[in-house]
Amino acid sequence: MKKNKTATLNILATSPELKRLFLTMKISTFLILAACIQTYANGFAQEKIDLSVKNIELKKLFSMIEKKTDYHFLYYDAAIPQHKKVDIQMSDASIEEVLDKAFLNTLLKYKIMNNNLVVISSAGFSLVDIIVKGLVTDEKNSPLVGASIKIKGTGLGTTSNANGEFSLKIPAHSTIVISHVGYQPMEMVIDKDETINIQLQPGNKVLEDVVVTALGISKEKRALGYATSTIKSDVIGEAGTPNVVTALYGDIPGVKISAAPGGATSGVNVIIRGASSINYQQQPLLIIDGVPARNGDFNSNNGRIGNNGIAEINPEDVESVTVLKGAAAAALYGSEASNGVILITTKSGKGKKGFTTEFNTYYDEDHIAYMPQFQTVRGPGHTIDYSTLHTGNINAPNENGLDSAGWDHITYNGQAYRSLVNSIGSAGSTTPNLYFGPVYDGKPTLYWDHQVRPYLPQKNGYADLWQTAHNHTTNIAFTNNTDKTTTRFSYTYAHTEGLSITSRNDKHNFSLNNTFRLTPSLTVQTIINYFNWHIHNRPTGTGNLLLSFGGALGPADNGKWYRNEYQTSLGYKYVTGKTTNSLTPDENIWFGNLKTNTLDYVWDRLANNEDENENRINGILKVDLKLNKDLNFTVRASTDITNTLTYQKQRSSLPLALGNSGAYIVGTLNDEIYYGDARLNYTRNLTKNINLNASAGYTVNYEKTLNNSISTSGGLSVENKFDLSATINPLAASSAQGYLLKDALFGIVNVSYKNYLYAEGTLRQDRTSTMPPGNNTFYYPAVNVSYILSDAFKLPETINYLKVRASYGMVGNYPGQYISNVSYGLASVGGYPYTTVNTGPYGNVNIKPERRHEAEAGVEGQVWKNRLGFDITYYYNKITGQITNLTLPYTTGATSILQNAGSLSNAGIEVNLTATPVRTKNFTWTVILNVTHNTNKLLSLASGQSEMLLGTFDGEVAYKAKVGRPLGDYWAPTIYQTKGQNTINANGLYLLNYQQLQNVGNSQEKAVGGIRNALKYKNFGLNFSVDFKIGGSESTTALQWLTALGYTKNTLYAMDAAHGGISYYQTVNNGAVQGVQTNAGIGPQGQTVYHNGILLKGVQLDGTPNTVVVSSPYFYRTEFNSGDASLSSVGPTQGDLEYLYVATNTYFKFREIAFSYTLPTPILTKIHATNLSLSVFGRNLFYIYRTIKDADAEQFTSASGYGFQNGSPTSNLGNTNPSSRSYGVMLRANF
Amino acid sequence: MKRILLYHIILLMLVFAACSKNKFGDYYQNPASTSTTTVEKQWTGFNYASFNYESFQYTPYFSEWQTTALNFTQVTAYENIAHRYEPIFQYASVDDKWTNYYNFLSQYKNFLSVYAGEPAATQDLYRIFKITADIHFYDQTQKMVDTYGDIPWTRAGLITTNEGNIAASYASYDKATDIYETMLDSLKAHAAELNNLSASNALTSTIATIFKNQDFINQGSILKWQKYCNSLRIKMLMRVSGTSQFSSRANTEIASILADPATYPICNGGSTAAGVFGSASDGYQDGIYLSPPSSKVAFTSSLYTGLFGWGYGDRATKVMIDTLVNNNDPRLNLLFQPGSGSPGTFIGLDESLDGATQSSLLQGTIIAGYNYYLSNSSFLPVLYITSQEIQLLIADYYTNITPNPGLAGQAYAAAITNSINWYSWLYSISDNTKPIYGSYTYSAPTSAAISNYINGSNISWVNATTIAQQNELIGLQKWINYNIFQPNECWSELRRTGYPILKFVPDDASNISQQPSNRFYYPVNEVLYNTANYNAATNNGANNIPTTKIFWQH
Repeated sequence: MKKNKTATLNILATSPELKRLFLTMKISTFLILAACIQTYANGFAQEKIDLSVKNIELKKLFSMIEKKTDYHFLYYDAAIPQHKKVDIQMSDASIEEVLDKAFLNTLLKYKIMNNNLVVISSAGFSLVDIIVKGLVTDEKNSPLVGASIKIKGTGLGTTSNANGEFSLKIPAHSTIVISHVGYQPMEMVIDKDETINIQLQPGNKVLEDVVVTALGISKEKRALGYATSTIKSDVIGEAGTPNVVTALYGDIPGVKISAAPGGATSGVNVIIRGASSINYQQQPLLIIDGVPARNGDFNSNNGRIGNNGIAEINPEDVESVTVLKGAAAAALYGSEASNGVILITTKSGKGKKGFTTEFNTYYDEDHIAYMPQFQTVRGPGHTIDYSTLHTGNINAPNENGLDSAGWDHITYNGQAYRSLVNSIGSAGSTTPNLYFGPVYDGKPTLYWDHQVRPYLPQKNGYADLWQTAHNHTTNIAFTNNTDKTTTRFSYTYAHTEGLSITSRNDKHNFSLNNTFRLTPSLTVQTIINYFNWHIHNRPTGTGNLLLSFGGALGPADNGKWYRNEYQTSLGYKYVTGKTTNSLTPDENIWFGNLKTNTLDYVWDRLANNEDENENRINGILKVDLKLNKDLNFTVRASTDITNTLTYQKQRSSLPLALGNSGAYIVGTLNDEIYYGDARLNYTRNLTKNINLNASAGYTVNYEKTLNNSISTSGGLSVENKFDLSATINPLAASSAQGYLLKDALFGIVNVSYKNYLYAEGTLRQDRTSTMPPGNNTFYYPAVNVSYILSDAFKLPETINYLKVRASYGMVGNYPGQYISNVSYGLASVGGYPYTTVNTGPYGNVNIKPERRHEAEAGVEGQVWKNRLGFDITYYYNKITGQITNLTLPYTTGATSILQNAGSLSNAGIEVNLTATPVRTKNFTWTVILNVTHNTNKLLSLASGQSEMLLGTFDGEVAYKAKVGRPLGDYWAPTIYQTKGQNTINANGLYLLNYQQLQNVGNSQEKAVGGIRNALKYKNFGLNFSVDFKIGGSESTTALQWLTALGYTKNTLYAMDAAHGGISYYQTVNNGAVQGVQTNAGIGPQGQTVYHNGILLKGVQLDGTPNTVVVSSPYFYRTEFNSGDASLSSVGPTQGDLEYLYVATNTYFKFREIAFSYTLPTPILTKIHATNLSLSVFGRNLFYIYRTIKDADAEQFTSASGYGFQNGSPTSNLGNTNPSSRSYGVMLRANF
Repeated sequence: MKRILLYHIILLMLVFAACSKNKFGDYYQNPASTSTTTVEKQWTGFNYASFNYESFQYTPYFSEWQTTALNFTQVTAYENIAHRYEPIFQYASVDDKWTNYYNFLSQYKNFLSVYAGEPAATQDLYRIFKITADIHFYDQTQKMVDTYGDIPWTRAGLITTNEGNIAASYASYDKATDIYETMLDSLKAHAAELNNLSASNALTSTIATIFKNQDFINQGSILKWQKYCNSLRIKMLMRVSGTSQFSSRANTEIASILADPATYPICNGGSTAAGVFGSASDGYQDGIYLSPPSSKVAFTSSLYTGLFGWGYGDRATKVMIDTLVNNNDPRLNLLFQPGSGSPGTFIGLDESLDGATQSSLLQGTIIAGYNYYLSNSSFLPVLYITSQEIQLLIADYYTNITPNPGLAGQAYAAAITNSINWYSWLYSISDNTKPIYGSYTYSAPTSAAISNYINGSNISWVNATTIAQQNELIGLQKWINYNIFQPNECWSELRRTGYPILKFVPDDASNISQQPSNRFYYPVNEVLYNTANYNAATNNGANNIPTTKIFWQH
């Protein structure tokens, strides 16, 4: 046997790459061997004792022996003679020899039990072993797994198994202590063999919780020297959350959550302890049941609203979510943990013995909410006073064929009508899209869809372009527990819809979780999750409906008309233009205020189909092997394989005879993650008070992606023939592949003293293929200390528990896949193959990972009979060597280069308060409050650089990283100052100074948090939560455009005398059309007097007070328009007060509420149920306070991260869906 | 115990065996890129890098020309609004020309670096790649110098050569005159060397094949590269001929080129004889360009949308339309179409009107625009050099440097014929799909129409008796020929010669430039990120103004 092993090793050793492997193996082998030797010594040889004491009390002798050996003594105080003193001088003696000598001349007897327990009794007591068996249950009579049963005063004992049962051999008359985390311990004296049933009452969970930490290792919360937060399934499931993360708003201090509206298929942005990167990924690492799962950033900037991997996790299968925030907590994940870690533990089925069933179903609806506040006073178009200013020609007629009041006149079917401004065929011109037209008068008007209607604002005109989403989810889970196995099988079906019309998705989720206790020392767990997800027409961003001049839908319009008119009666796309070729010329649209971009949007939603079929299999195998009482070995292997097929069928929009149209695109995405780890754990009591726990291990992770797309080109040769064979031009195809390999060695050492002082040190060495070979190995250390003051000292009685903790750690962040490559792009021009060196960004073979150093200190405690709990953390982190795309002058030959340049810091305080203001027999009220305040600061950029432009919003507002400031400042032009006052130009508008910018906001919030209330009265429960964000600005581009065009309520100001408008007439002065204020009914040369003037406060360039009155439509259109002038242009376009709409986004949102009723126990017993509850719930119901009134606070979330990531905005109202309110009902049952 | 131990070791080995050091290396490189290249592949990559600026794409027209050179030469209509003659400083999209060139330069420097990394013997074998790379590089460089003046050049684009060392890669500026001198010296030597390489078997057949397989510009034709080289020398020498530093050189070098077409072939309308200027109906084909339908190169141009710009950028000026109409220029119908509101009548926008009036005229329907068949064609060629422009420069040479009115007149007439036939050909290969507005009839120019035009009273060379009159004629033809298609050349020759004489209403509102600018600003990118070198080159920015003249401008 031994020979064979050596041979194998030799063969492997010839491969030089395996050197490192052998180093690892050597360490592991050494540990295993060392442990075995130790075990052997314990098991097979008596411990020898050297003693030299004089005149010592017996009790002191016992404790001395306990310190030196593994023996524990069990005795009754009274039985040991107080004044008996002994002298012992022995070396290399056995325990028997020592005790025989010590007990000489006493009546004491002893017995050494097989677990090194020495039981001492006086002659009157028997020394027989008895066996106590029992069942430990919780307050609901469910079995408690892992309860500790110890012989008092010894630390020896056992734990309850999966069915809550235990069996323990003890000396008669011993006291046993039964305890379990989260429950109040119990003591019992056992005199004879017996079987007992112990029901534990809930205790204070916070004190004794076991939490999952890095690498899936469970630890007592009290032993941790860093902050973690764990949220359990009851909170996650209570209000029918669309995904796991959206259930956690305001629940976890230090964590900011924002979700892109759009329903279950939308991404979530999670930011832990502030911004950690200038350019790159900010999303936390996702770990499910100890193994990494696909997550990543999401981005909705290409039309459809995307999602990240975490949104796919089934909330019904989640047992708990733990967030590792600080570097010390996450250090075992090294370079993957710079943005924190989310650990999800799925339900495994452990608990009650036998077969149980869990059933849960809910239905809810999402209704569109929080829309812009449209004005309903006037419709589309513009009056003559706008036109004269716009053209600069006071004698020109009103533009767009309108009469001076803003009406278009149409002859249709031989009859004359008035109609709204004709916006058809006016591409490139924005003026027809104004909403400064005639006031609603209810008189007949010809609309673009050939109907005559009274001219009135339409109710729900905008909302009717959307649908109400009907969602339902049903979950059934079976669990079976036997002595040998625990099995949970769960099936969830979820049907959800989005607000975008035709959007729906169906998700089937199977989960099978098995634990096999094959032998007392060998446990095997297998978890298999299978997701089948069909997304039909993923929601599309609102871009066309809010952000485009040809699409913004106002109250004069109605979404229903668009749903009717998007296609002709023959099913082709609508046709505009009176004489355009069409098989249905009567249906051609050629007058009125049609928003073609909106009609295109509706065509795209209703005529074109995109179906994503995702299959994801996630399997985990975990083997736990107890080698002996000190040594454990765990090995885990997992896969996460996603395969997505996407079919896009774009309907033929034209008859084939008139042109080619339509498309068929088929895409596949394969994403595979393979993971393995192995860990050897060694535990030993070094002395009676000092416990050592050490681990060493290795993890490896391999990821592979392949993304293919093939599409028809130039249209379909047969109408609506959705097959590649129908392509008109040669097929277009693309394929991208990606590979990623990471591995790491790690070690952990835990030392505890007397169960009140704990210290832990960890070290990880990792490698990644995203770094240049030879420069890809880095080390990440961490230490943490926890000190339970309330156990170490006697504190005033009001303090039930008090712990202080401190930690320091380092984590990192590697550059993304391939971005550090210095490489040539490959291409061919007309058959001539060529290369070009990639220069934007240029790679860097000397790049290093970003390092996040973090120190934190915290205090947690319970006071006033555990009625008030607190947990306060202060942290400071510094992220150095930021991986940035450093901008270079183009003259160096590259536009940017990948560099470790700059550092930033976050300092913050996290506060968590848990209070039970009321606790009576029938009524309890608990409230949890979380607040986090974080201060981010950019400490430096590349040497000599003081700011970096990350992007611009609309080409006007600069988004910058500035040294000394928090990341993400908004900078906008100032108003040119003359003699200390705002300068007004010849047109009566502000003169902007593009050379001098000012800071108009920052995207990072001052504080986030939440309040969660749980009220329970008899069988009724009421839970509700409020979450908030204070500070943090957004660029509200879309809203600003709506203002520029006159859609929003704020543009009513100065529309006429009643709304504060100034009366004026127009005249030409130095070639410019100017307004002159007047009180007369007519101008001096007979000019018309208008009443919609605005006189801006300020001075003309020459310093004289401004007297030029400007027409208010022209004011809004010019000052709020995003023009073509760029950030700091001095060009001919006089500017825009863009920064008026960089707005602070503070909110207090009533996030969710659930009202439930649980059937009383007697009825439950009758129907053989253990639980049956019915609840109604609502989400996103209303705001208590918000600063942005025209949109939902989260509607800006269009991608992961703050402000700009990798050059594209993460905050863009046009790339999301409108927000919604949700209401639902839920039934939960357990049998 | 032993057995358990063994199990563990096997398990550990299985897990660990998955990763070896090699694998980390294998997965490092993006599968869609490569870490190495070859001289010839990078040669093609470099030559293709300025494609956008040579093939009538949307971007250069939209972001630069529609507000600058096209207006500064009055080939397209513009409104008399404030700041119309300023190239806009800190205007991100105007940087596009700069960015495009420095990307091109970066690829060129990288080509040099790959070339220099080869052993001396290989460098000798691949010499043709180096020579031809230089020619194209200098061609684009001249356009940059003529637009900006001094630019970072010899020290520029070295980030790859310096292996990512940023500090070593910030580039200082070269004097415009030094750049011209270097280019002229180098091209002169290349011309001689190319002449040697044009001998049969001067290139090994392997190298000839490799070159042919990579040369999308001239398909491996050494003769064409000779023509490109020598024509470019004439262009450069004429551009600087008025400066004291270069005038004598221009005189002697052009003379030697024109005297020996066998050694120094040029683009000359198909003629290979000294003193003879080709103007046969296919004379225009003797240029360096790629015509899409017949070439292996797959591309489409997109001039129209860029030209149209923010609206009306495709409209014609009164001075251009009137010039063509008054002289029965056969190019009128090829280049323009009447406004839909004035069928059959070509009306340009009067550049002397006030802005408001111009604005309403443009919003109306009477102003003529560029002909869709030309501007909206996907088949506009990638253009490097034409016979007609070289012939006009030769006419210029025989008028102003070595006066010879007879030869000047022949070159002048040949150039007009070639120009008309060139545009006629572009028209004929168009795939335009936009309906022409207004009624107008097009027929291909006949040789009679061409000769009537050439002999017309205002055009005829013989009627021009003074040098000023001759310069007016040559300038007018350059202007019509370059038109919207060669804005770099059009603007440069107008600035250099002052012909044709165009009138611009001064912009009193501008304190920067009351007449069309003489140059572009250096982009903000330089100001912010190459600050030290920028400050040194511009006297801390004081010289970075649009009124500064390029050294060859009078």
